[in-house]
Amino acid sequence: MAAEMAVRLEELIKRETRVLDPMDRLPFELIMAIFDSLTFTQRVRCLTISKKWMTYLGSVRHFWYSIDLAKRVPTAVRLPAHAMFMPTQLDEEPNNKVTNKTVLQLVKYAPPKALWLGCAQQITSGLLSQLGRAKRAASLETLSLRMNSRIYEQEFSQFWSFTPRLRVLDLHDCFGMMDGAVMSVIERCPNLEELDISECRITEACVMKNCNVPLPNMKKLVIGRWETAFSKEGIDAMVERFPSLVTLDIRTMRPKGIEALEGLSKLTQLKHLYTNSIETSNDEAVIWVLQRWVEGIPHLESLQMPACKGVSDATIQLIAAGQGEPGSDRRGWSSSLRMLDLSSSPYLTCQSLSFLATHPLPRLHTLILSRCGRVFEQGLCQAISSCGSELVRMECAGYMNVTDKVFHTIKDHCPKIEMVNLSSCGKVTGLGLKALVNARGQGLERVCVDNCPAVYLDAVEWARTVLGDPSRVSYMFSRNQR
Amino acid sequence: MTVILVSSDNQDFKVDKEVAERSILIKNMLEDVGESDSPIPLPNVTSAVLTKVIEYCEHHRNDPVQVPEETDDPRKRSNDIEEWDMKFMQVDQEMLFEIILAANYLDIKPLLDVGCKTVANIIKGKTPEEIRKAFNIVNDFTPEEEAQIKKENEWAEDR
Repeated sequence: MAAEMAVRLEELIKRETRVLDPMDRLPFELIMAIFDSLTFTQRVRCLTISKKWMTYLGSVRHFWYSIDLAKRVPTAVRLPAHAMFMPTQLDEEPNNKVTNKTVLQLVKYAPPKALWLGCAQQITSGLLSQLGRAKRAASLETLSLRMNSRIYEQEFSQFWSFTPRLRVLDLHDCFGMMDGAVMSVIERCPNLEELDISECRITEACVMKNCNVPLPNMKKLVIGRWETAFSKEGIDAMVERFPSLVTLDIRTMRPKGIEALEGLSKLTQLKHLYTNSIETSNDEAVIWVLQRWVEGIPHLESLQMPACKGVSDATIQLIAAGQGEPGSDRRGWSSSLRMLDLSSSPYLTCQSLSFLATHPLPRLHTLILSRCGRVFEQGLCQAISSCGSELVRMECAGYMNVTDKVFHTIKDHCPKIEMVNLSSCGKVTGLGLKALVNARGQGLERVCVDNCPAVYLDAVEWARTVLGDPSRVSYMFSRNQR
Repeated sequence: MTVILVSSDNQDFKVDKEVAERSILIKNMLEDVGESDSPIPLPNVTSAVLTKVIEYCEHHRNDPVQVPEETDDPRKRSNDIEEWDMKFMQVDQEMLFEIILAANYLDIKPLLDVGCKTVANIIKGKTPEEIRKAFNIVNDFTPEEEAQIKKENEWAEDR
């Protein structure tokens, strides 16, 4: 009896003191495998567990190559892989806890290859000089300083000489950035492939210096600002400087006269174009510019021109049919275009959408025609039925008179549809929703019927059950809309 | 056809060859030895752990052989453990480590992955204090050091 007790006691003691620390129990390569699947923040948290954890994790250099301090807002929607080009969205929250010291603490483990410091309001220019001096910038390939108001140009011009490998630079909405800093980064970082200088305090001058020296590495440029207009010389200089651009986002770039944008037609490798600043009502000039684009850019895959007053029926005709270029059987961008966003175009009418019936865009995977004031249900259905065969994502939100017919047209003509947005459509009902869900089943990734007063909760609940995930059907009402 | 596996505490386990061959180590051994019914000693695995490992291999006996896939998608890398595997891994920490070590030794890649993911999931979403508790770890920082560390890493707390 006593012996048994002793054994039990021993066992209990053993239990109490048993070693469960993975750092002690598992070989190094397994610890790496475990921590590989954690996010950067989670790893940082693990540094504070014990001295052993700190030493172990700190010694794995590749954990510290990419320092991500941006606080991202979780996106409810999983974007499908084919949504190749989306304009950068404000997906980061301001954070005041990350300071220069935080970054300097973390770069001591390894010289980082990527630094994401988006919205870190406490980061100042001093950090950059310190990184440069501490020889912690030489491996840097990606740097994001989105929405930082305390970084100034002076330090920056110095910094670029420490970053010869820089490939991706995001300075969106850095108010301290002016032409000089942009000029020096372009000069000193010849490997730069992606540059976002939208909403910086820049003018066209930043691309005009040495514009006769082309930089063919640059593939993606996001540039633009409402406050200053870009002249034809500025835009031509940009095109000359970056002749190999694949993605160009001139979101809020206002040209001095729409004709100035004609130069973009020399970007023969362009695939993705985004702008929302074609504001002119000079129809002829807009058509001429677009005509030049269609002629000059052979393989455009996505065209996004939301909220452009310049978009009209002639725009769609040019996109889908071109001008009948002599010696070429290319019809507009109909054989390459995969994404078309013309939402909130006030002058678009049903006439051009029915034009698509004879001149379809057969490769489209995304079509966004939300809130076009002069478009009605009939036109939308025309567009869907003529371009639906490859369509994965269809958005036509904000039409008070749209009925279930749209749901049925999508069901009948879009065998590959995954995302449908019909929010704020007044006459859409649960029957239409059910018909689409029935037809597509689990293939339907997401349906949005926010602010649809004629859709009732029971249909939504039913659809959620069939799709197997409540988040796949969005059904919310905002007060100011009702 | 069956093979006999012998655990470190000398217990015999009779298993279908197909099941035992989920372990690349055993598979290679059998190939080297050829037709033979001599028992295979596994001196690094106790009977308790071997029972669990065999249970896993039985359940996954018909799985296609895994092709090592290099996925860059961080979303895909963790969390998604099959329901059966998740239940299977609901064991105490001690056993969890033993299973991982056995899977590593026996070279059963899918079991090793599930084990590592389970440990990663224990770490996820926990505060440092909770992680220490989960793994029975002594906090060996001095109070001053800890205050300093806490201040430095404040940014990582609320996400």
